[in-house]
Amino acid sequence: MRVLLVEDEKNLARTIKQGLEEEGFSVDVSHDGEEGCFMAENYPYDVVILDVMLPTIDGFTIIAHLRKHRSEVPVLMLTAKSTVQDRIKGLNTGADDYLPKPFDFDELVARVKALMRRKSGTASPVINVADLEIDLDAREVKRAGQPISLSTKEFNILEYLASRRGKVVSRTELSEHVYDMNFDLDSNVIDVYITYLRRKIDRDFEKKLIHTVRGAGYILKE
Amino acid sequence: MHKSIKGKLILWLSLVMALFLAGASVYLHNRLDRILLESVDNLLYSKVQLITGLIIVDELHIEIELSEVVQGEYAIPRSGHYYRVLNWNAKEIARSPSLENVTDFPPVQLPRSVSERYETIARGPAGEPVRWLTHTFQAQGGRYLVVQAGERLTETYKLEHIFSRLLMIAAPLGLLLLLAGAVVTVNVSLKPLRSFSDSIGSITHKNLNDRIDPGRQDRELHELTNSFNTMLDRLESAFEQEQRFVSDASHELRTPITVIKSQCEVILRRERTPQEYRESLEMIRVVSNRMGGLVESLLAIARLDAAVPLTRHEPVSVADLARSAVYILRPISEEHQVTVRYGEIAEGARVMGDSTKLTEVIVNLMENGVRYNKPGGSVVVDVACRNNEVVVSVRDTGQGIPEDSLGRVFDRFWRADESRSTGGTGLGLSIVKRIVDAHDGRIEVESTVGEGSCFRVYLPRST
Repeated sequence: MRVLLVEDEKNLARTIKQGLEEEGFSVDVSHDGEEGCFMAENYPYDVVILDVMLPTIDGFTIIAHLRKHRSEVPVLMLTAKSTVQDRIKGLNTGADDYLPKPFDFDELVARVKALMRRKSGTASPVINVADLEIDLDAREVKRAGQPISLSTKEFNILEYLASRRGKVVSRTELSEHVYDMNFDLDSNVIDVYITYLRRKIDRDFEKKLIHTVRGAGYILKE
Repeated sequence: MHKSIKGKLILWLSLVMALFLAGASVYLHNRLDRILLESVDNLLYSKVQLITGLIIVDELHIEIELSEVVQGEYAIPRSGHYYRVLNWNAKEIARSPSLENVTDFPPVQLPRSVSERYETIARGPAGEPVRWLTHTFQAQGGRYLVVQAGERLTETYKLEHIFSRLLMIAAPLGLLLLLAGAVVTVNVSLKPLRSFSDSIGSITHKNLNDRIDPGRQDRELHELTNSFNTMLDRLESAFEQEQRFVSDASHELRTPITVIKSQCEVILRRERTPQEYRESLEMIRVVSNRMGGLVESLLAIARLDAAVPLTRHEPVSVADLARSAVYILRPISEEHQVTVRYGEIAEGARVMGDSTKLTEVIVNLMENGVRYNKPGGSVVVDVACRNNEVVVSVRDTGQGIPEDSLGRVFDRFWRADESRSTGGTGLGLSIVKRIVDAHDGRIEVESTVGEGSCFRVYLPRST
């Protein structure tokens, strides 16, 4: 669950990044419009949180640019400029949601999660795979009614596999969506975490859900 | 009463009308008197001619030929028509029977030449006023005779009296009617004013963009309507400016408030170490200070807008101000690695004004020059005297201002980039402009993107 935050107010950016990371998101921050646009175009993010008033190019321009280049990444506008006209302009340009400043942090988190759910096609916050129950909001996992405790990273990986369930997920894709851009792709941390996950989710159960597809990646399915 | 247009109008109209009516009455009265008297005199004259024609004079005696005319009205006692004839000794030799025993006559001098004299004596046979014509003429033989003819004026006077009475009734009545007419006229004339004032009354702060349609007002009110509409234009724009200010200001304050709020919410979500709390509070402190500075600038702008007079008005040496500014900016210049110095300073440059505020102007301009500059760049201030003005120039090698923004540079909250990452409140230049305006000066800017900008402040020089 990778988030791009484009916000030029450094203190605010730091605050939001910390808060979201504590919620389990991976957050990349840009303080500049042009840079943020570049990052949004070239790296896979699950949600982009965008301020409107930015140096170099403004938020509206970024949204328009992304949509023109067929990027469907969900965008949440976060801005002090909150007249109805500004909101309409943003939504018409292609933003998916809008939150005026100042905002409740809880609401920001809820809306980001909602945008992610919308994108991954799950309207409900709970994903079920066989008897595995993943509550995205509460960040709780149960299998056969038994709660399973996962670390943040483990949960994130599982969540991403679940959102792509039935499809193969490459290691690269996993690392991109679960880690921020400072992640070193050469390490096999992913494999290690998959092992942890398997230990917690599959080992004690007959039906294995996490499968390895040799040369391609992993897949979560019945 | 003296404070009302209507009152004044009616008062003056009544005065004029009353004066006119009084004058007319007096004139008419006198005229009538004179006309009536003239006709009596004409009658007397013809009577005198008549009687003169009837006098026969020879060496020994004078005789008056009796005739019908003479016998008619002159025979009836107290008829009102009288005559008398006197000889060259001033002795009465004949009188009309109507005269009876009257002794009151206009004096007769011994005749020396032909003459006529009109007089009014108030002593006819019945004590009535009589108008006499005394006519001296030369008879056959060269002797002078005097004929006096008289007419009673009683009827004349009665006529005059009736006329006076008529005037005394008609004039006041006329005045009253005219007054009533005047009141109606004045009311009708002033009605457009009332409808105008009603139109004005219907405009409130809610519909400030309404205007009064001059086409629907009387022509005389067009100028007033246009002035009023212009005033409404100014009001509306001032109102809009104020609303924009309020909305801009609250928008500007939202960002620091958001930081504080979000920081508090995030930190309070779980247990933190004292160090984390400390760092969080530190961030809140920094942002709060920034917000405080913003509020101070806003208040400064509001105060300047209210045209509060400058706190001081004394001779100021601009050269000293420029040097102080350079000194004040030393820490910031070091922080940004931008050189701050003064170029050519004219020592005799003095203006009348507030030295604190003017220093603020120079510092503000130079600070912008530092903030929007690159490391290794420079900001230079010059002070010169030109014509009757002191010119303060601040040049920098900074990022410059795009040409299409140059006109908006002194607007509130305008920033070179639409973000807050370079620090500052965006109010600096707007405050600068207001201070310069308050000193009766002007400020100009030239800039090339990528090369730098030059701000020039012109102030009236004091001797």
